[in-house]
Amino acid sequence: MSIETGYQPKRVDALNWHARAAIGELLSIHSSDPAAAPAMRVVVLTRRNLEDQWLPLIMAIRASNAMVTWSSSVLSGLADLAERFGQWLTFADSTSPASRFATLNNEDLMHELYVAGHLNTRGDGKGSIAERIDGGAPFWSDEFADLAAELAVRVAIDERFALRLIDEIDQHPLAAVAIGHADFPLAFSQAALPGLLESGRWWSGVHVEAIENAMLHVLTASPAAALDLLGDSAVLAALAGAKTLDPTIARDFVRAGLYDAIEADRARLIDGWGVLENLTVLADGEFDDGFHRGLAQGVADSMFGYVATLAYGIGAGIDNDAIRIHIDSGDSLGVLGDRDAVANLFGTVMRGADARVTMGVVLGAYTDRVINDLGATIVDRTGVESIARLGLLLRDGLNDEQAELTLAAAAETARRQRIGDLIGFGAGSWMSASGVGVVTRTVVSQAVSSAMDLGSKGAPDDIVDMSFGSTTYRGIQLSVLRYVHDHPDAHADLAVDRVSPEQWAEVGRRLDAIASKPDGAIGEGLIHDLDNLIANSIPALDSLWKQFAGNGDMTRLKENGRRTKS
Amino acid sequence: MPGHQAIELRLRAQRLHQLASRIEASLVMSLERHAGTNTWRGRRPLLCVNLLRHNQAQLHAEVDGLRWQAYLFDQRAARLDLAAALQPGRAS
Repeated sequence: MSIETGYQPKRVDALNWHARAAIGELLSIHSSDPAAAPAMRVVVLTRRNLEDQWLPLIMAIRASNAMVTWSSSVLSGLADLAERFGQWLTFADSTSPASRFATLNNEDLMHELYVAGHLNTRGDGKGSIAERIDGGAPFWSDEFADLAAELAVRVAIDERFALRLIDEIDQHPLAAVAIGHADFPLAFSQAALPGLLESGRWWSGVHVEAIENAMLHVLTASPAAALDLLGDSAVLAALAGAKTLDPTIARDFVRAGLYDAIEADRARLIDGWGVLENLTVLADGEFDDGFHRGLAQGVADSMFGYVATLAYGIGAGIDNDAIRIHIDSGDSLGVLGDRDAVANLFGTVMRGADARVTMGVVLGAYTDRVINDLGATIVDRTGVESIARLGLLLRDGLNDEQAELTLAAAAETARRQRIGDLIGFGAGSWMSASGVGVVTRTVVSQAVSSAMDLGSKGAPDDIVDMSFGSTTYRGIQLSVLRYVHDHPDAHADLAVDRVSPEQWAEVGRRLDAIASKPDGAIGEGLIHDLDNLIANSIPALDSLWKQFAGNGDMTRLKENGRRTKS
Repeated sequence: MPGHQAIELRLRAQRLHQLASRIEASLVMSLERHAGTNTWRGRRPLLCVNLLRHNQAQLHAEVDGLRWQAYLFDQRAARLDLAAALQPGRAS
C-alpha cells in the first residue's frame, strides 16, 4: 500500500483560517463548575492537539513544500511551480524520466552503489545522507534520487537482482537508505530489514539510516508486515538491544505491529501475544538496563489492546502461577510466562520513564473500564480484584520507590480522565496510533508533574499514604463510588437504596471536590474525610465497599505488600 | 418556595446544558469538512484528521455527560423541594 501525498494550496489556506477560528472558539469556552471539569479537560486537550499537531503542519505546508519530509526532495521544483499556479500537488509519482543509471547493467549498477556507499562511509563529517541531500551536496542532491529510482525499478522487475541485493545488504546499506527516496516494493524492505538489524553495526551512521528508512517504509505501508518482522525472535532481540536507533521510529514500528496490525485483523492477535512471549524470554537475559527506549514505549502503547486479556490471565493465585492467555474468554491460548518472568518483562519495559508512565496510564484506563463494565454486578462478579492483580504485577516489576510513585501518579491521573474506552482493540478503532500517543502524552505531562509534586512534598502526615498500593487502592475505591453515585438505577441491586438523597448529595459533592482538586484530595485529606463520612454515617455504602475490598489481592494492594521472590 | 440549594442546583444544571450546547455547536465539531482529501493527503494529514475524530468522539461523550449531570442536578433539586414541602412549618 502506498499513500499518495499532496495538498491543494488554496484549500490549505482556508483550512488554516478554520483551524485558527476553532482554536479561538475553544479558548473562549469556560466553566468553573467542578461537574464540568472532565468536559473542560477534553476541550483543552482538543485545542492543544490543534495547536500542536494541526497548526505546525499547516504552517509547514504554507511555508514550503515540506509536508512530507520523507518524500523525494527532487520534487521541490515541481512543487514551487504547482503552487504558483494553485494546482493540486501530488508527490506520488517520484520517478525521474531518465537517468544515466538506467543504461547500466546490473554489475555496473552495483559498482555505482558501492562507490556511492564508499564515499559516504569515509567519515568525512558531512552528516547523514538525508542531510547531504537537503544541503545540496554534489551527487547526493542531484544524482542519488536517480540511483534510488533505478534500484527500485531493478528490484521490482529482476528477482535475481533483488535477492542478490538482499543477500549483500550488510555490505550495501545504501540500498536500504534508497528505500526512503524511491518507490521500492514492500517485500524488499521486509526482506532487507533482518540482515541490517542483525548485523549490529550501530556505530555506522549509514547503517542506522538504512534501518530507519526500511522500518519507516514497513510501518507506513503495512502494519501486518511489521508484526511479521516482530515475530522473528532475532529481529526482536536486535531491536531490543539497538544502540542508536531513532526512538520515535522504533516506537511507531512496534506499535504498528503490536497494535495497528491486530486492530486491522483480529486473527493476528495470536501473533501479537507471540511477540510478547518472546519479549518475556528476552527480558530474562541481558537487559538489566531495559529494552531500547522506542521498543519499550511501543510495547507500552500497545498494552491498551492487551491489558484486559493479560489481567484475566494473571489468575487468582499469585505465587508463581503461569500466566495463561485466553482470547475472548475462550480456551487457553498458551502461557505468556510465569508470574515472575512477566513481572520482569514489564519491569524491563518500564525502565524507561516514558514507558513507565504509559503503563501507568494503561492501568488507570483499565481501572475505569473494568468498573464501568461491571456496573451493578460489581459485587457479584470477580473483576475489581483483577485491577489489584495487574497493579501488583506491574509494581513487582519495579525496583525503586520513585518509579512506583510515578507509575501510581500516572495511573491515578489517567483514571480521573475516564479513558476506559481506550482499552481493547475493537472498541478503540476510532483511536489512531497517534491518538494513543497524544492522549498518553497529555496524561503523561500531568502525571509526571503530579508525581514530582508528590515526591517533593514527601508524606505530609500519617493520614496520607502515597505508596503505589495505597494510591491504586484509593483509585479503585473512588471509581467504584463514582460509578455507584452516578447510577441511581443500580442502587437497589447494590443494596444502597436506603442511602438518603442528602447523603448522596454529600458524597457527590466530596467526589467532585476530589476530582477537581487532586492535590487537595491528598494534601488536605479530602479522601480521608470521605472515608470517615462513609464509615461513620453511611453504613450501606460502607458495607458495599467492604464486600469486595476484603478480597485477598485488594488487601495486599492496600497494605502495599510486596511478595517475596521464590 | 424552593430552597437556596435547589435553586443553585437548577442554575448549575442550566449552565451545564448551555456548556453542552456550546461545545456541540463549536467549529471544531465540523472542522473535518475542511480537511478532506480534496485539501490534503498523506500520512501526516491522515493522522491529524484521525486525531480530530478522536477528540470529537471525546467531546460528544462529554456533552452527553454534561447533560446527564444536569439531569441529576435537576432531580436532586426536585427531591430537595419535595423534602422541604413535606416538613410542615419549615421556612424555606
